[in-house]
Amino acid sequence: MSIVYLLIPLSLVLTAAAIAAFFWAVRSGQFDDMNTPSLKILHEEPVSDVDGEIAKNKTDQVGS
Amino acid sequence: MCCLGCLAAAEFIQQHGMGDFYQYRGEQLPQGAVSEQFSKHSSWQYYDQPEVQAMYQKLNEEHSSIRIYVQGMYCNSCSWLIDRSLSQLPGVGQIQLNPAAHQLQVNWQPEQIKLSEILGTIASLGYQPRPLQITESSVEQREVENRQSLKRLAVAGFGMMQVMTYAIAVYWGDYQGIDASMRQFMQLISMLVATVVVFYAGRPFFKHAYYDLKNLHLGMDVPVALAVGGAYAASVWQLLIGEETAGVYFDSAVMFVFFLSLGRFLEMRARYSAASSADALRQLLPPLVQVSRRGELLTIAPEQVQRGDELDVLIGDIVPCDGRVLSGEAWLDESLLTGEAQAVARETGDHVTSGTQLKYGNLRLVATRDWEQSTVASIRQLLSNAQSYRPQRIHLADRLARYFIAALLLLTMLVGTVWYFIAPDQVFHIVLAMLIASCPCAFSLATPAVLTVASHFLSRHGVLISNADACEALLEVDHWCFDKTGTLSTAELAIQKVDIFTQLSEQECLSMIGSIEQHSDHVLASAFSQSGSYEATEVEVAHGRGVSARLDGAPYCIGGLNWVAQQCGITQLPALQQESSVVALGAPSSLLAIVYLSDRLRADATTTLEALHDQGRQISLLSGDRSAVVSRFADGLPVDHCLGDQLPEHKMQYLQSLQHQGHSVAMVGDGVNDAPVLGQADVSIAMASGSQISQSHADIILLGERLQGVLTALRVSTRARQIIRQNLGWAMAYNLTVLPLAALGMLEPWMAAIGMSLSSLLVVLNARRLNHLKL
Repeated sequence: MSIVYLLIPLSLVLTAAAIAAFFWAVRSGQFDDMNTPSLKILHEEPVSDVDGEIAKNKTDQVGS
Repeated sequence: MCCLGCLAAAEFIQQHGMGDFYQYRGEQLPQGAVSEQFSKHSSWQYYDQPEVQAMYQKLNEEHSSIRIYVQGMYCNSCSWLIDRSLSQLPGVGQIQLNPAAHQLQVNWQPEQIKLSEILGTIASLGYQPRPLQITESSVEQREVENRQSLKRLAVAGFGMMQVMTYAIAVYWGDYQGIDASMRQFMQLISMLVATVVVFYAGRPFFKHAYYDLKNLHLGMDVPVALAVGGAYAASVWQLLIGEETAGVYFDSAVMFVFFLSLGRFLEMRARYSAASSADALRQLLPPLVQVSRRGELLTIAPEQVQRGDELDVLIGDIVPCDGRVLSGEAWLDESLLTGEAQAVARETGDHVTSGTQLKYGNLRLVATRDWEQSTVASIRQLLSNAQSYRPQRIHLADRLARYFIAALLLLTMLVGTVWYFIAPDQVFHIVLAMLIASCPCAFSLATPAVLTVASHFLSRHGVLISNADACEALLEVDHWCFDKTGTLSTAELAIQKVDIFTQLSEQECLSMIGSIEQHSDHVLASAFSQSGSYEATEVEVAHGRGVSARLDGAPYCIGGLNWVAQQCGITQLPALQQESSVVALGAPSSLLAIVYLSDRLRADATTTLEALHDQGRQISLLSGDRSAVVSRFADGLPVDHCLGDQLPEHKMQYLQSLQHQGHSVAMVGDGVNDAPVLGQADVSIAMASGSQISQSHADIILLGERLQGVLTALRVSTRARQIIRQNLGWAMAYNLTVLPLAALGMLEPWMAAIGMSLSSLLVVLNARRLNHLKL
């Protein structure tokens, strides 16, 4: 059972790590807006398409 | 296309040859489009001056950072577009957008890019950027508070889980047998975690309790702090110094802190659920104006306008300062002052007020007042006064809790003293159990839990609650005040009556007017939306007066009666029933028809007012419109008092006098001019279609042009009050049964803690029953 003396402090370290991760997430603003980011994914596709288009235009210009 | 963002996104994509995605529809743009002259980067250079920038930006070691209010940013398309365009600029770092608050924060490298280029880029997309001063960002404060409580909640939650694990090990060990050293170890670890939880997550409770005691006010936090602090201190004392190790209650203390933090967090979220803008009134004015001061042309912020500055105001612009017209003539929308949407004519020598919008024509003004004395600035003053005079509401729970807590503390002290004489070693144990058992946790959750569910429920039914207290206050309202234009009526005009002076039928006259009015952009023209069947040729528009044209070759003219009479050479004029909102149709030397227009009553206005009236509420109609118009409008509506010619000050005085008579007053309004009145009312309700500023001062916002939302809110509030009472009753009953048990020493503190959690859970589950309400 003496392994408990090691495992419990270890679990505390893990908890501290989890809290630190959460604090970081809060501090970097990930919890400021809980509504719009879920909708943001709907806009990603056109973005990449447009990017692709821009990139293509650029290569065209370089080519010409 | 829902907004500028979508439109610009569509154009952006079309430019890149992907136009197939969208079926372009040329719908009207929402207001807020930036005027052409400011879409160039150079006009924003005012914000590049170091002394100006110091007011707006925060400097960091690596970058500058600024908050910008973006007018016209409504949805995710907008934020996507702005995000894309800004991130392509060199030197722009992190961009954070918050479409709900219409704000963005941007970090940039001052060496690589100027602020004016960033602002100019946003403006060139068609939005109106407005840098926020460092002192104005109340949103930021809210964000800090939100983050802080999230962190506290997380620490309390994680800590609670850990401590409960150890506690169960110990309890199980007591039952099954456990090493004394292992037991001690578990409790030491618990103490470590509990120390963090109590002193980090529990700090606000101690702080508030301290202030409460200092102000001789018994709040919820006093017994909370006593119970948490007591449980913690006793446990530490028992563990480190005491001989028997039974009285260790870290689990109770930690669980207590977690549940209370959760309750407070939910309450805070409910409070902040609706976005209100930082300084909505300033957002009325353009971000920049071009003035000539002593012959020098300057681009400055409207707050910098001084007496004697000269400036031009063009179509669609907002007049930035109070001034006198030097030249030009124009029609102005003065809804800021009067609340009435109909435009007023202003000519050379007339005075104009800040915040009015120029509808047609153009003006050259000279400013007659500095910014501080301007109308917009003084309305803001009026507003802040109104809010400070507003009657304070006291929660039902708060009132009950005050007595309850006082009684509780006295009782605990009494019981403690009694036990001191019977069995001194039991005193601490029993006092602690009493404090935990009687913890007002369920009590303090009882109201916020219900209000949170209620505001979620209402928001699904088109009613936004921005101040959760409003639900309670709404039920006490016995006098309802309504604004007219925009609230009971829509802003559009409808044909009220047609007087015919010829053999032509009413239908034909309207058709002729409609055919000609198609060529006019006058406000009154919108009433004749059904297109006429005639072909209008040789159309001549006299701005603000009327239109003349030929229909099938014959000359006609329409417009104000006097103008038409003058044009057509009519000498005998009929007496008018009202002066404004009249359109006359004339042919040479004969008057054909006079059309009276009036506001269109909202479809659900009558039913809403009747329902309120049937419930025994008094109803007042307050309007800035002329008394005659207002009383005619009120005909057939169940209105008890009807007042016209009301300026914002008058409306406020009216509300104050009602409040002095002991009435509780609700105000429903929409315009900028209603904002101070909304601030004065016990419950303020704004239409979502109205101005930003009135919404930011409203407790309740009605979405989708539905007045009936008022009735929905009343129904839900009634139900919510029922459930709150059940909850308070339950919390009370629970505490009253458990207290004697704890006082008699029959209750271990851990049992009290479990009982407390179950009772809180019941309160939360009961609150959820509100969702089953059938409307």
